[in-house]
Amino acid sequence: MKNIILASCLLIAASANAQFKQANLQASGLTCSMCSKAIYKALTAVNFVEKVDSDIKNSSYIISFKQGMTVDFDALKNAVTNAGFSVAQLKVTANFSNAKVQNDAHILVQGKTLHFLNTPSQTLNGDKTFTVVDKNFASAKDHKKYSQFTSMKCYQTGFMENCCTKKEGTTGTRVYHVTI
Amino acid sequence: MKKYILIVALLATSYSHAQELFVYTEPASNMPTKSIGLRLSNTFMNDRVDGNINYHLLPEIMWGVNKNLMLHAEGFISNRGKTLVSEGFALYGKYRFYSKDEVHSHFRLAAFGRISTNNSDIHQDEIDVNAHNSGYQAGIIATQLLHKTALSSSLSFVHAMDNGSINKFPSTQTNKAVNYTLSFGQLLLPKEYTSYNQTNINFMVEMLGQHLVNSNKSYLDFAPSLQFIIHSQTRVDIGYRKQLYSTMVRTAPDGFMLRVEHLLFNVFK
Repeated sequence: MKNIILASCLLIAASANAQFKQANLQASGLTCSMCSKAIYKALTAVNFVEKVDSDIKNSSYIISFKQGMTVDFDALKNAVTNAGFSVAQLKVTANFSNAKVQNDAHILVQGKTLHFLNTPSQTLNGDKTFTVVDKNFASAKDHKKYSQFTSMKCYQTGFMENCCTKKEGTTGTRVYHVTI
Repeated sequence: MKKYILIVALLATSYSHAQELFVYTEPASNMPTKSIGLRLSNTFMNDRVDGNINYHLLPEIMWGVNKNLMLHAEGFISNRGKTLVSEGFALYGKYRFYSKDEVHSHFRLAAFGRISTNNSDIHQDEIDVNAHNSGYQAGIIATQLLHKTALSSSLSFVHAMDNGSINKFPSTQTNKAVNYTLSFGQLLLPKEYTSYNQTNINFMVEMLGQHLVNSNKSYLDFAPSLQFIIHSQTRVDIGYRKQLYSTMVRTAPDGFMLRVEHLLFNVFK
């Protein structure tokens, strides 16, 4: 038990301090307002979503997150695909506090493993927006474009692999590939 | 005939918006997962034999099982027997097996099947397992949605059976057919999408054909329709189906359709 508490403390200490605030999601595969409303309804039903504002013309949704709730990017993607459509782009805005980012390396942010690609090493402070470039979160073209910036296998699988540096999670941990 | 082809060709190339919720056919896309759709279709067809209006009422419930599968159950009620009677029911399933989505466009393929039972008298060569014949239908649908045009086409095989123990399928008629459809859709209003509360008005043009297997009997219909989408949740469709040509016996090929459909989102958690 003590080991678990110790491990949890270490994990929290290693995790960069940030709060996911909102996301801008663009959906693909639709033009009709009934289809757009299906996505809107699916997003509003996600438990950590506070509010959704729709831009019907551009098939875009500004999603505000509830404070203190764990945000799950996969749940947003699943809401869109279950409504019958796809995610074309997901941009997430988070409030960072002294988060040290390195290119082609993993970082733990609010318990989530992020893998920054094509991003210069920097320390993030304040509201910053990153784009998720994983499969099913971006167009196939964009996903392929960012594959040149890493040789790690996790980019293809979305999960921590044996070749990955294990500091920010164990094999099988969900990894989101992002860029600023 | 040439005139109609020209009209369809013009529709395909000149419209600036597209809609994929067709009136006389189903698109390859499905309903949202965990949603329920309630549909009431009414057809008022001119009977060429006695000059009466053949009224058919089709109540239908639709269920989005998951992102790829949707199921329908529908009933057939008609006044062909002079009073309004229930004639049968059908189950319909559609499985979307291919999707290529881009912003404001998609290409999708789906397979569908319908199995239906009907106890009405068999009075025409045309096979219709969606209100007239017992039997089954199986086919594929391809829908291409582009920035400016929505185009959908389907090809299916239909097999009619006896309409109950009393109304046997006539041995002199062909009980197998191939159905083919081609649909176009366009958004007329609003010019700019700003709210889900704007009423959308769509214009559709569909071609519906059937060829009876191992015969020279076929027909082709032209079906323009207007669609109103209210609060992005309720559909009202008004269509008119007109026979372009036919080499088979059909009792009432021409007439109006009025349909109301309401979608209930996130019914199941």
